[in-house]
Amino acid sequence: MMTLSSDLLVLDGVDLAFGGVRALCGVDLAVAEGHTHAIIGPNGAGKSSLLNVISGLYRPDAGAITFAGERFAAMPLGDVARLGIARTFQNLALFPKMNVLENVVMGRTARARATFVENVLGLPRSRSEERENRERASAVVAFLNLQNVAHRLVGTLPYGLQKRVELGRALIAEPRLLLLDEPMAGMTAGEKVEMCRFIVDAKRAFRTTVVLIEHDVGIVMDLADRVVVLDYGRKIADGPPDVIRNDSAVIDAYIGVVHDERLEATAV
Amino acid sequence: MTFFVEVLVGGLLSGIMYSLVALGFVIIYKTTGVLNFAQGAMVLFAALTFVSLTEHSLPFVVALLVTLAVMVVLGWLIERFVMKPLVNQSSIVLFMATLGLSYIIEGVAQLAWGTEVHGLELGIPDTPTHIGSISLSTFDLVAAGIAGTMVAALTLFFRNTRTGLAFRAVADDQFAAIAVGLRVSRIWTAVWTLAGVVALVAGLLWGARLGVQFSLSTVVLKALPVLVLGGFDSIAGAIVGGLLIGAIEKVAEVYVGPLVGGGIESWIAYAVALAFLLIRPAGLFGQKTVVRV
Repeated sequence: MMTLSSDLLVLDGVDLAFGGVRALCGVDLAVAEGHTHAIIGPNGAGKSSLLNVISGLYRPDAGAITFAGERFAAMPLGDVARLGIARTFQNLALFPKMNVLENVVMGRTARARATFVENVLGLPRSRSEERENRERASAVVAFLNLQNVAHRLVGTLPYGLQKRVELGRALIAEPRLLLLDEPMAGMTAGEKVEMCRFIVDAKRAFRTTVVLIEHDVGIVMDLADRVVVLDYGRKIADGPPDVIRNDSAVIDAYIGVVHDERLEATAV
Repeated sequence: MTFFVEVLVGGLLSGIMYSLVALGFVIIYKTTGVLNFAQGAMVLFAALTFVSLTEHSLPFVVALLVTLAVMVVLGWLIERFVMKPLVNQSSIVLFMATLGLSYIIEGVAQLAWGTEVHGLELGIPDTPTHIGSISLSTFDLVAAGIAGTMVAALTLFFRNTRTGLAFRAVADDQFAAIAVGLRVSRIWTAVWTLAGVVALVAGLLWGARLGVQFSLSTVVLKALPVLVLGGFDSIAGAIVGGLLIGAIEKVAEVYVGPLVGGGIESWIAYAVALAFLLIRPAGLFGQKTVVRV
């Protein structure tokens, strides 16, 4: 696959199988720095698998991943955060018994310069870093409009707010690549609109590259610079939203065989 | 009345000693979800290492530092060769592993330091201290002071420091901890080391009271009712549980014992724990598990 120097993330022929089930099948992908890529496709198409390969949770059976010019057969799980990749999860992976600020602060882990020993002994570098992290966390909490719940335990918050905390924890890392796995799943219409605005603002404020999975086609068309369509583990389309919108293979696979008006209706 | 207060306070003081042992369990259980049966063996190992070093005429402080270093190495070894290979195994597997570990640690201690009973002198006077009309054991008071300081320090550590926060994060959700880039195995090593340090303090205080011998490892059995009362994952619970058990033991021994022919102190703690399990299985401070059905 042709790789432009401006591409932050490139996947080359990634294969992934679970036993007999092929979750991903020769998937190529190139994400330009600063772009928002949306991955869409029916349930079981391999969207989450793809995100898990990028974040190191799954090890592909074949193919390669290039991130920021460095080539990997599999992303190193323990180090992805330090490479500059942050993510949110479809079913949330927060620290429920810690408060909102503490959860967000944990997102800075990968950016830490102070060593373990410095932290244990509370040496100056560790302390100034901690102060800086707290300030950043307060700023992120304010940015996401979470001030009122800053000291609440995350496990006691409604689902929509938890999703926002998880976004905050990813943002505070100032990631080069932000992976969002269905950031709006299970939200009310109002919450979706709000979340959508947060993603757009965050992208501008933190100048990050985004790869997101989303079911709501309308939101995808609004947010994404480029849309990738998966079906049965294969990439069946890849292009700007307005091209994808009219791609007949996509319409067949994703929405079923329907009229254009129906697609328009879904998109609203 | 004075006599009752003496009995009660004496019980509370020895209860703090139970808390100290229970604390080692809590630290590991809280962060890794492992019920570490080897905690008693670690207590014994630490005390035996220290006492043997002082018998080889090392000065107190040097022996203490060397023992500390040994406990750090032990913590690292346990993480590297027992816990890491068993990651994601069920809790019963991990529990069995610590059971095996306790025998290995005891065996190694025996090989290295022999089996005879050692006296341990910490330089704390064992004379009664008088407060008003009450007389208390000075040793117990000092021991309680040390244990109390230890508890306060650990509580502050978990609540207020960066490392404490990282410990809590790993305890809360390992998956999320890895996602934000925490080095989980490093934290586990630190947790086991910390439990080793707590074991060292407990070993010294218990060793000074009972003599350093192999039966020292059975102090874990006294920690279990404390954990049942206080909850396995609560530092505060370990303290309150220890105080309660200590007080109940002594008061029951003195006031109820004669009615049933004595010897009540050896089993009353377990009877209380059993009763407690029926009423409040999560303990006084433990996390209640809610299962969604």
